[in-house]
Amino acid sequence: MLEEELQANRFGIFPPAEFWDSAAAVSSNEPDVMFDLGTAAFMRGRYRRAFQQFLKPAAGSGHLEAMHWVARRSWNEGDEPRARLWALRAAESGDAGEMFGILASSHAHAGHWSEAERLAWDARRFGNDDALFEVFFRCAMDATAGQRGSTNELWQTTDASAILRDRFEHMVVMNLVDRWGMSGTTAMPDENEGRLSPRLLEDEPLILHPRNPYVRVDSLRCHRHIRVELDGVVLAETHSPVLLFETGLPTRFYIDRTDVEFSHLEPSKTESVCP
Amino acid sequence: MHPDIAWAYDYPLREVAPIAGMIAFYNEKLDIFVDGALLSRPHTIFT
Repeated sequence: MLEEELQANRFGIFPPAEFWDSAAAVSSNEPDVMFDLGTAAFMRGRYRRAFQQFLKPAAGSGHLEAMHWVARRSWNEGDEPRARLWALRAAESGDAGEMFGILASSHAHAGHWSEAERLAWDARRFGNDDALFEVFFRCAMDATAGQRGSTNELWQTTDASAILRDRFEHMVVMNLVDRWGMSGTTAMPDENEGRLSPRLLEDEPLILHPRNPYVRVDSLRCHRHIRVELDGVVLAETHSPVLLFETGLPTRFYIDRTDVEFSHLEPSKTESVCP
Repeated sequence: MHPDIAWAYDYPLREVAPIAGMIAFYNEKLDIFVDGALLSRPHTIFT
């Protein structure tokens, strides 16, 4: 009985491949449903399936928000031409938000902050806040890393901070939780009381989102010779790395600190969460 | 200066405990040689 309930519960969280396949077959003519299924798959860590099976077809059927997702995904994967193509299609369908968004992102990427900011505000006029968030976030990161510019001028000349406050607060909360030793736990302020309440999967903290059950992770110590260079400078060299294999990602080479040349490295303030 | 080229987990998930405290570099951004052979730089969401 208990076993059945646990199985059913897990099925609800991680539907098997057959569920997604039959859902896609049944719903292929309904872009709205396809979009919902795509975002549901995405939130369960099924990124590739989300885009291949649901979001791209939905975008192809003219679903505007799906076009945004596909454009943004293409941009994040470094495929700028495809990102622009989908953003342009959305614009042709009457929603220019993502097109301005992609343009803003590409200017932010190049460090052209004033152009990026101007385009991000244009994107916002068409209902797309993502670009504004990205531009300010990237600018803040670069300023923190001593790269270029300062966010202060931007913050003082605009009211973006107010618009984006909720999203930044969410990130600040996540960092706070991290510092409290609940490493990476996704916590959201409790809607009613403003307290932090970690999300749970059964009784374990849920980190970012439920893990894709079809992705396997292995970490193996070995004696391969690994050398890491940048611009011809050796940053690390080891004969005893730990190889980290994860389905769908390149092999990562973890290197003991004693084998890393720290004189060429400086600390970064960037922190992220990985499920 | 190249921003964010390496990372580490001081308290990794228990499934990957062996990587605790170790440093990993982005395959996407650096030249990594495995047993003398240069790896190509993959294109991923971290590029």
